[in-house]
Amino acid sequence: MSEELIARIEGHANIKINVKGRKLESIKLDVLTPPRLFEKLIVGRHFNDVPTIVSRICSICAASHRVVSVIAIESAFGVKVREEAKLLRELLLHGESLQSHGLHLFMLALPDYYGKNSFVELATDMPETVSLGFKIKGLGNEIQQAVGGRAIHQIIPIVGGMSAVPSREDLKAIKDKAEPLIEAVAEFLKQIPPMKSSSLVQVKNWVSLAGNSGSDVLINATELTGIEEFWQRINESSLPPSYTKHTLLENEPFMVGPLARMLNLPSLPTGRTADLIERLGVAKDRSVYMNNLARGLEIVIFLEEVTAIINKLLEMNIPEDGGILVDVIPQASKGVAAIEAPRGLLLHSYTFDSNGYVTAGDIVTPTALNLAEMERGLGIMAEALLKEKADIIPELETLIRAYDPCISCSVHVVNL
Amino acid sequence: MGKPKAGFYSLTSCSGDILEITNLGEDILKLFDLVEVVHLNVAMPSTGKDPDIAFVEGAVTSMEDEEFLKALRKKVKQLVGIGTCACTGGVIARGPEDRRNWLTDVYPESGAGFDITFPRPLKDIVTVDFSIPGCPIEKKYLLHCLGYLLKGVLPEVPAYSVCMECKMKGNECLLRYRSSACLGPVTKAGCGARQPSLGRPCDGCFGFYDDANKESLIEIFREMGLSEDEIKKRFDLFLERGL
Repeated sequence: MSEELIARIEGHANIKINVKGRKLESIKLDVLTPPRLFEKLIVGRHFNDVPTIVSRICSICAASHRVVSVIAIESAFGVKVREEAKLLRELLLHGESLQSHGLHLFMLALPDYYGKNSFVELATDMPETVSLGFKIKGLGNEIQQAVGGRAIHQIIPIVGGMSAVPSREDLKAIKDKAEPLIEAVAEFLKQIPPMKSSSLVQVKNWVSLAGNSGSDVLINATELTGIEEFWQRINESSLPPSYTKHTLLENEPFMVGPLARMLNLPSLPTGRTADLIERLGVAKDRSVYMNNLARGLEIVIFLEEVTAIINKLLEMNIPEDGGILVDVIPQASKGVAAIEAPRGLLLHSYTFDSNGYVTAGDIVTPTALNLAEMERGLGIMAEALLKEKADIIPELETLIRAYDPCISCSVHVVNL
Repeated sequence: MGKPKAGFYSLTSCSGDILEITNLGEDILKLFDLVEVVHLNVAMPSTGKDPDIAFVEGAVTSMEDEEFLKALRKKVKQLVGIGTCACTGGVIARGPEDRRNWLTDVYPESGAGFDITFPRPLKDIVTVDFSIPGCPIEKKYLLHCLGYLLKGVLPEVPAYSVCMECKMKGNECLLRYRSSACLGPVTKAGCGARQPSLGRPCDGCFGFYDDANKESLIEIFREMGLSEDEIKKRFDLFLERGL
């Protein structure tokens, strides 16, 4: 039996392996960050406080939690926000993904590809690479700061729209920084060396939102299902000492996140993205490690979208004083919303009384959805590697980092 | 004498304060020049060395948290709480102290076996030398404090309310002119009146300012038409155990 706290992931977790001789008896990924019970914390709260509370579920994807909760509440009350507000929210979410993917790919995952212990070591040998990572992460934060009001726990997205508008100067400055990064990242991705043992673990099932619908889920690129039906079809179980549940879709683990999104693309894109998908082998090879490269690919795609959205916003000439808001009238109702957070599908659902106070809330996060799949992958990897050597922990850790679990967000789950 | 050794640790939290430290961008490498970082979980494996100064984010919600914190206190010269969860318990320290029902509702099979306690700030468990509030911490405020702390001196921080910073920015008063239930008058300054500057009332994440006149603000909220329950909930978001 061996227990190790996994470094370079967000939060605390460990892998427990039971080995007899050279044979794997059992493997378990335990989440050790205690539960914070957000679904209970919001009961009795006014709808305006909900986004503020739930964004604290996770610092890395705070914008996703804030925006999806705002959309779920708006859907409950039948609020139609203005187009400009929708575009700004989309821009904010791209900022978050750039921050998160930049941090994960460059600081947490890349050291594995170059045999380094941490990004600090990587910075000594490959300062330009680390600097590129900081630029992406920094730009993501700059977007979140300008559009959301802060890099972490954003303030501006509220029920009914956005409470403030970024200045034209800020938008232009972001665009000027995004444009040169597109090519720089695309070129860099082609140089990442292949990873050892990378073909061992292949994705079996994958799930993401279908396009930008926000209302349908796509399973294994073939099966389309509504969010609420999907919610009914997943089931969870938890065993101590792990503080989180493992989610199965009809008894099968499944993967969410960048690679799942890539594998679910309705048709192959054109231009730079198509070239990268081809060169990197992302769609061909379903190795879980491809999740890292899919993340890199998304950095390129999101940078392109950031410049496109900013062009649209600049044309719209939005007045900078005051926000973009519509009236909100609460009613007794239920609202459900889904979003693609950096790590994958994120679901929020709330029920309100007629004064707009929460009576029930359910939240399912990407890491919770991925945990069973992570254990499946770890099991396959451990079994294969044990035939060759005794110390398999470093390789299991690199696999975990490919999934990119965000442990603080995995610790609260849906009631079924 | 070598560089001071610093460690950054997470208890129960969203990790936002540690993330804000990585958000220092390339400045974080300068920080690595000034101090020997012995622990920063999100970014590197622990060196296993004991720090001289420990920065701790998150609230204490389990025996493991508590034991870890007590052991850490014994090893370090200075222990600094970072972020609202560490300073006041934060947004998770709300609702009933007894959470057995919550646990069994959310985790029907295993909740009864979870050994967790009501989220408590660090100061309920150990002596804290200094607290850096904020949900999350503000980078400028953090750097300001680090400058002092790394020289072994307690930082000088604003001893006035958010209102002062809001006035200095020339913002329109949300409380007075927009009937928005702003907690600026009772909240410690240091964030540059971040929320009111973006059209949102202050939620009080820096905690109560020392001379806070709570009664007067409650009276204003009553005059604005807020019910006693609404007032209670307003104070009970980030401020230390509300009213």
